[in-house]
Parts: sequence; C-alpha cells; structure tokens
Amino acid sequence: MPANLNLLPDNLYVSKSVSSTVKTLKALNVILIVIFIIFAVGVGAYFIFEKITLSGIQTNLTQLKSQIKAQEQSETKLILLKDRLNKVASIQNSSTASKNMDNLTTLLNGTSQSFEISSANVSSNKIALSLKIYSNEDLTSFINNVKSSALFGTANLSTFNYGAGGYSLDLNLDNPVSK
Amino acid sequence: MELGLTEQNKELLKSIWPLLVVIILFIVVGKIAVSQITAISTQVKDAKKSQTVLTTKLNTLKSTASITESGSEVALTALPKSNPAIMIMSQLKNISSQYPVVISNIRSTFADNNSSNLMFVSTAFDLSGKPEDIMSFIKAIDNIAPITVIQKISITSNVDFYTANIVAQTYYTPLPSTIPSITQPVNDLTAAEKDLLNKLSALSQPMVIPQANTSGDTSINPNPFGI
Repeated sequence: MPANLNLLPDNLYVSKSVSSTVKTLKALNVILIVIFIIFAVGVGAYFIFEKITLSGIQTNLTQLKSQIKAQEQSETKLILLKDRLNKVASIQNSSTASKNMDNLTTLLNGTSQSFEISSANVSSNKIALSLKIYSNEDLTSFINNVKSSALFGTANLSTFNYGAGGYSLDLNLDNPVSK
Repeated sequence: MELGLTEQNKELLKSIWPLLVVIILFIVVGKIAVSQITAISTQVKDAKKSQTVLTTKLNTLKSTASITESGSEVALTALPKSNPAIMIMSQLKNISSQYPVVISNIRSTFADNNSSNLMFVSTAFDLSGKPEDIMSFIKAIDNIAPITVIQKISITSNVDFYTANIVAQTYYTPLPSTIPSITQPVNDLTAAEKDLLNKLSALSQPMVIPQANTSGDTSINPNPFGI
C-alpha cells in the first residue's frame, strides 16, 4: 500500500485546496491581464479613430465656414427679406378701414339700388352711415340685410326719419368680423 | 523583515497581488478612458451637428440666392427703410391719373409706432368723383408699394358727386442691424413667405425705388446693411 510521505517542514507545506486556489488565481490573473490589454488597445484605437474623425469634420467645418462667408451677401439679403416679409405680414393682418369698407360694400350690394348714401365715416373698427331710402320695400330689405349680416357685431340705428323724399337713417355698425 | 507568514499565505499573496494590480489598473485606466472618450465623443457629436447646420445653411443660401437677390429689392420697396412720404405722394397722383377723380389737399405727417418697431407716415387727402371711382381708387391703394393701409374714410354726398376725406398710413422701418453668427442656421423662405413675396412683386412700383446697401468687403462686417 503506497504511503503518503511529506518530508517538507510544516511551514513549507501547502495544502491541496490552497494550491488549487492559487492555480485558479493565476489563471484568472492571466485572463484579466489579457482582457485589460484588449480593453486598453480597444479604448486607444477608438480614441484615435474619434480623433481622426474629429479632425476630418473640423477640416470640413473650416471649408464650410469659408464657403458660407463667401455667401454673406446672400445671407444678408435673405435676412432682410425675411424681416420685411414678417413685418408686412403683421401690417396686413391688422384691421383697416379698407377692409371695413369692403364689408360695407358687401352689405350694400345685397340691397336694392334705391338708396343714397348721405355720408359714411369708415374706420378700422366701426362705420357711421347716413342713408336715404326711398321705399318701404327697400327699407325692409336693407334692415333685413343688416340683421342677417355676419359682417358686423352690433348695429345701432341712432336716427330714423320719414319725410317727403323717403326714409333717412343714421346707422352705427361696430366690430366687424376680422377676415 | 520577516512577517512570519506561512508558505500557504505567501503563495496566496503572490497570486492575489497581480489581481489587485490589474483591478486597480482597470479602475484607473477605465476612469481616464471613460472621461476622454466621453469628451471626444461629445466633440465629434457637436462637430457633426455643426457640420449638418452649416451644410444646410450653405445649401439654403445657394438655393435662395436668386430669390433673395430680386426679392430683397421688392421687399425694400414695399417696406422702405426711410420716410416714404415722397413715394406715397407720387403713387397717389399716379393712381388719380388712372381714374376720373380729383385728388387735393395731400398732406403727410410723421408718426412713430413704437410698439412693433414700425414707423409710418400718415397721409391725408381729399378725393372727389363718382362713388364707384372713389371705391376703385381706394381699392388701388391696396395694390401699391410702399405698403399703405387706409385708416379712415369719410364720404359725403354732394349734388352730383361724392367727396371723400381719406387718411392712409404708409409704413417704413429701419434695416436689421445684425446678421446671425456664421454657425447659426438660416431658414429657407416658407410657403407663406413666398406667397407674400409674389404678392409684393405684383404691387404697383413707385417712380423712385430705394436700394439696399448690402455690398461690403469680405471681412466681418458688424453693420452689414450699411446704416
């Protein structure tokens, strides 16, 4: 029967379990060092790649900037044009007497021709109208038109007279609907 | 110095210290690598973004060059940089020659509309003629350059003709004093802006057309519009 002899002093004795652990640790060290080297090389390569990419983009940016600089006059004119167009659009969106005059014309166009405008004061938000209407039918037609019109928010008949020439009306029309 | 370690412990320590060194290296190098790569990735990302912006800007400038060349003149006529009183008087007389109306008492007054950086000249005048001709005249004002809007119309009936007192506002505004920095994007004209530009091109032009002073040298011009 074989005998298990250990001639080493006790302080030099390494047990099997420790020996196995040491072997595992050494293998782990080798693996980690290899991983570290791959990691370091990978990071370095990626860094160099990004540096080269950045350098290329920066060269391109410099060229683009010089090309844009050459187009400075076009840019100036584009900025001027946009500035003007925005301001013109804001002017055109504001209410004006001519828009209100169009509303009045639309209202009167729907009425019989047997009337006469004595006076009309048209501003951007109201109309003061003095009219002469010669017959009952025309008066009824006109009043109905005013009542049914969506062009004006309020209509105030301030004066209404009947004489030899027919009816005379003073009418105030407010708050035209913005177009 | 003898630490009194057993052989077992010495073997374990010999195996562990390279492991610790590698772990420390991982931490140190990893930390440096993360910060460096993050920094350069951010730089690349920003540079790519700038490249896209500048490429778009250059393409926009090239594609709009022909429109802006003529469009800026049209827009500047529609909305001049200085007081357009002479232009509007000339335009009113021009319109009155196209219709059987009599224009008189033309008077201009300066006003300042600070709220929107728009200034205007207020022009009042009297008009005599048939109602339909007066209406045609009023309509024609909507189609002249510089942009003129009617603020007040007072019409009174006489025996066989009408008299109208009209107040119109003609706008003007200083030129923009700065252009965006070279890296700032510029937008192409929108469909609405192109449509408006077409409408402005169709306006009746005054006899004297203002010119934009947009020429300059190639160095940085802090006042590109020359005002």
